Amino acid sequence: VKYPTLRSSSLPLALAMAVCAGFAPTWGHEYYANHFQIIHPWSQPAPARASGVAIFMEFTQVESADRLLGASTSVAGRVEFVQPAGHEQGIVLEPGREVSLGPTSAHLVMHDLNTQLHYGRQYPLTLLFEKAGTVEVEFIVGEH
Amino acid sequence: VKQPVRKPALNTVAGAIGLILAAVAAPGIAGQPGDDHGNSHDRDRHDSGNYVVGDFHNHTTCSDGQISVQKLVNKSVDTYGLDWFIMAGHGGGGTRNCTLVEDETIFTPPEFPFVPGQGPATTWNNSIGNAAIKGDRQADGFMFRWQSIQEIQYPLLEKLALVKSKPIFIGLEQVVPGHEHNDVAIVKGQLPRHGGGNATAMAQYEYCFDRAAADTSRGGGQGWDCAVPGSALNADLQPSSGALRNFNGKNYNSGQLGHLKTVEGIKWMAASYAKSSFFIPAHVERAGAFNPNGNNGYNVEHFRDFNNAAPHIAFGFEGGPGHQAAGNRSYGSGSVGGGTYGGAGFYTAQVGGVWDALLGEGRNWFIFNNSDYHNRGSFGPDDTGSTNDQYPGEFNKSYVLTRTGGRSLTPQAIVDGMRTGNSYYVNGDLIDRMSFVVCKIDGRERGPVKGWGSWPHEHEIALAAKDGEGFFDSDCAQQGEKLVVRKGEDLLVSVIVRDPTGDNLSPYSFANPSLLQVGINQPLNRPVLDHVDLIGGKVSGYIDPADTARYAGLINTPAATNPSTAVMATFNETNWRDLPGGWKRMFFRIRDVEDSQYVRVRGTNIPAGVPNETDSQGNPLVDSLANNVVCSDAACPTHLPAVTGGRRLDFDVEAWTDVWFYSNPIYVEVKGSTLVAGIKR
Repeated sequence: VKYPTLRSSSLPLALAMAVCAGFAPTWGHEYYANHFQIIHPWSQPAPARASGVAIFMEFTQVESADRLLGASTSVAGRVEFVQPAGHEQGIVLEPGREVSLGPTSAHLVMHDLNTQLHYGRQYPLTLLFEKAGTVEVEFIVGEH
Repeated sequence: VKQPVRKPALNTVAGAIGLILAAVAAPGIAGQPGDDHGNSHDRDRHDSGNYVVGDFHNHTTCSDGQISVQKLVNKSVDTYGLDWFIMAGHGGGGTRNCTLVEDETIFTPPEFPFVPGQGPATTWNNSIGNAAIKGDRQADGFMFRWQSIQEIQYPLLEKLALVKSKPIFIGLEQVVPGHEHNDVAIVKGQLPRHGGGNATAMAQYEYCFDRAAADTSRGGGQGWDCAVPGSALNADLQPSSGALRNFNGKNYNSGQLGHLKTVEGIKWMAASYAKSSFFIPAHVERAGAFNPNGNNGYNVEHFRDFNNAAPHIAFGFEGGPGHQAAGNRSYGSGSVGGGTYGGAGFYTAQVGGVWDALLGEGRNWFIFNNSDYHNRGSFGPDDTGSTNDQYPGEFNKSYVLTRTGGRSLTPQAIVDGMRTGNSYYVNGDLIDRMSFVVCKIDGRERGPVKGWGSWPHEHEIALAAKDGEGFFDSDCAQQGEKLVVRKGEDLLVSVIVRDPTGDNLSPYSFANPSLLQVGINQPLNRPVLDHVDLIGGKVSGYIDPADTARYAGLINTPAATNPSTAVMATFNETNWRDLPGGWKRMFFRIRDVEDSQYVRVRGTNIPAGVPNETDSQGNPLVDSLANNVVCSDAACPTHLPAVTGGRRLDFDVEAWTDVWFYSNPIYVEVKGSTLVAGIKR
């Protein structure tokens, strides 16, 4: 697992919020950006050439606002947002709020897969944020 | 260009340990000047111990790994020949039954049979049923980790240990309050001689002190509390204190309070499991520096806090992280130091940095490496290539000296061995034997003359190396020990290693692309030891926590450096004694010793000044630079990204390109100089 951008040691303390004790994401598949963490990006298995394959993840320890603007992966022709009607484009991150990209909320979908997504394997995913810039992660095939 | 020698296909360690371990004969050192004649078995054997190889950081589907317990164990101890294996996995819990094997070809005890149509991704609900799940999330089909440790995984591991005649038991990769992750094990109760053991203590620690542990059932009715004898924090931390997991409204799962809770956990182990547990922070640079209001990495002061709390339990960190086949060997630019360096974390790789700062206090602080196996990235679990992990024993290996008095190797013996610091870690089988010893010598004693003769103790040290044993002598110290000497005495540092013959486990035999940059044609699966650095620094004593400027700080601050550290000598083919079978003998004399100090060694297949790999002094460069190297051989695998002229060096190929080993320190305590307080012998 690759861990991207350098975290500052001088983050504004007032912006930092506690992780509530009841929050129980899947630990171990985590990525650290400057001002937030990305927890367990994952998709379901899918055959080659499939479209509409969802990618889910969670954002936690958000210390300053940001917005996920887009994503790309070498295993798909394109990646798009699926968002509830009326929401502006992108995933908004706000300090102290945990954001879950799940089946019933905003999430990403891959179209035109160029390879089969096997259960238990993982593939590269590039996320583009308004402030954090490009963050390289990998998504795992299979929820856990 | 040196011709490569052959390495054994798999590691095996000579065993006076009562287990089924094949002895590997050390070939061809007889009849050479300075050789060790005679049968090593004629020597006085007062339990010299054996270096045994293992792994304590890895994952199955019971956390976020992707294979079953049985498949991971079989790969680790059968395919890759580990002598011991501690199954880890994150704290928290999960929905998948990791005891269900993938197919009928995988060995599994009859109590855990192959079930057609099911595998390690099958949920608990669809296998044993939700009714068997304890704790607060039964209805979700979510089994908390304490239960899988205590009731599911440990019983399986005990059966596997019996069948395979190896210590195979359970630990934890703790999700750490205030920090990222930590390798921990409590071996009390595990693998008793006649079976019927338990991992209750390990499970209770996870329940009490893992950041991801959210259950309030007190062990499903076992009445667990988490009180630390005499602790002022008990009212907040033990879950019987009323507001379960609410910590009286304080957030002990993050930042500085989280760190305090983690220290409490160490004290909890110290109260009941002082000699049967360890606490080894994992991939310590990966999540960046410590975040006082979140959960990120560790700074030097946190290691000091841990070691101060219980030096018998918190005695080191993972200097060589796993995930070595991931992009740039797993760390990104957000890690402390901006990446790994020759596969090591910055805290270990920087000469005079965090590790040396800790050693410069005279602390018992040792390094280990692990696989951190989860999956093979875009490859399947039985493929040879990987864009994420190598199996335990495939690439990263920690050698630990264990002393069992001729009895079977036990979990306790492994923890005891780790605690002594008599251990070293290796990438890619660069070496498979090492004796590293410092001895007092008479000022008039001399070494070999024109290749004949020998240094004091040379024969005995070489025999210990040959047999993979320790070397115990009242005038000498080995890794993790200290030698107490008078001011003005002469010392001799002896380093004897074997660069083994044969291929290592790399699936690639094309020429090492990094070495091709400097005209060296060396197959990737036959790395050749280029040089060994002897590194040393002075010991100036423990730093008082109240001295905050020296106790706490980020990298390159006074708290996190030891300016006295330097490379004292570099050994290579020009000044080591090269013997058949890949043996190298190196000696360095320290004259008129004045100050308490330590020495340690590192070695690599990469010479100094190789572009994108090492600086002019031979220090490893950040591993992301290796992306600048073009792998132009026709055999370069297609999972490396295409670039002009070939493919970008990355993933598993990058790891096999640049391999290192690191010893742990040997201390010298000079009477009248600084006390090496962390080492008792």
